[in-house]
Amino acid sequence: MLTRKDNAEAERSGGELNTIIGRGSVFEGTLTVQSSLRVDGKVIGNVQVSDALIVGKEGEIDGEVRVRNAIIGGRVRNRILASGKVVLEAKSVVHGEVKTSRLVIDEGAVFEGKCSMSDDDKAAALPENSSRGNRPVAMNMEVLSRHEAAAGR
Amino acid sequence: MKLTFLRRLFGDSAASEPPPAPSHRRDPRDFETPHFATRPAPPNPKPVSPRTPTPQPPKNVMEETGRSGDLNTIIGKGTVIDGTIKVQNSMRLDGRVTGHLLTTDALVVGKDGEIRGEVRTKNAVIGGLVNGQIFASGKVVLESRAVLKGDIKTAKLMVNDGARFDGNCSMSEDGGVKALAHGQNSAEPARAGEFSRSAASRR
Repeated sequence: MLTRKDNAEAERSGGELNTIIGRGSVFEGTLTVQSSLRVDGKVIGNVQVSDALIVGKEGEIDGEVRVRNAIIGGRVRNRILASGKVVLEAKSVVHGEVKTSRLVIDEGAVFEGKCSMSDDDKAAALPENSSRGNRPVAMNMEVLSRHEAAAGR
Repeated sequence: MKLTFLRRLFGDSAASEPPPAPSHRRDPRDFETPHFATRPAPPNPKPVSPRTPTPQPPKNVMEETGRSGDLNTIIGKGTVIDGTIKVQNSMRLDGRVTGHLLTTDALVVGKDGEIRGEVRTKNAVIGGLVNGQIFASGKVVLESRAVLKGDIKTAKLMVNDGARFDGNCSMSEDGGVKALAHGQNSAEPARAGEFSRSAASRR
């Protein structure tokens, strides 16, 4: 379901697509990527991306994911920690924990597990190697204040 | 061969022409149309006057969610209810409910609506605040201003950007969530134990 549009979206959201794990590839270990990563193959291990992560519909990740924005079209197991936004596309399957400040789930996505969007969790979700700190923080603050206003408590 | 080709061309196309229309109507993207909470000019704007005790929901919402049932009960803005509500067909909530809420069909929570307690329904469109568990046999939609603190057990889930969700989500095929059956008066939660346990372990 992920098309060129999604890649363009990732590029717009900050960094260019830096690394691609192609279809049929299997990666085992810890993956640290500056800017954005696209996964169409399989990754077993922890993934840390300073910008956007895109998992194609045949992509699969089994491990902890630390990222700013994540667009999931395939399968992710274990944990997603995002400082920005997590999008679960229509055919995605996510098992495990999601910590994020913004969440979008399209109809048809399967999500089993815990979701936390509370404020104290956000600090933990920030990628440590975030090279450009200004924009995401500003965005988060805006989102935060909007949420607080919406919660009205 | 030509005949079969023509038959395929005309016969089948004539036969298959009507179905796409209804299927298009049920297009999931259409479901997103009732963004009554955020869009500046919704197609069927909700009456904003706080004096109106029974605001009509946007028509689309009910069409999409409660196909078979009509809007039976409306809890208006400013109304506070303490206890269990069992609703045949659909319900719209703009007030505040503390307790259990069971509907046979759809539940629509307006952006000022608030529930503290357990919800058991077929389809739920949440625009407001829910503090508790949601069991839905059909679909749960969290609109962009929705705040949900608690667990969801549903077959389908849609979360719009801006919604907040803190809790567990379970979407397993054998969910076995049952909405309050039509005509059923004592709707004791069938699988409530599962969630109570997970909720207890979190606290």
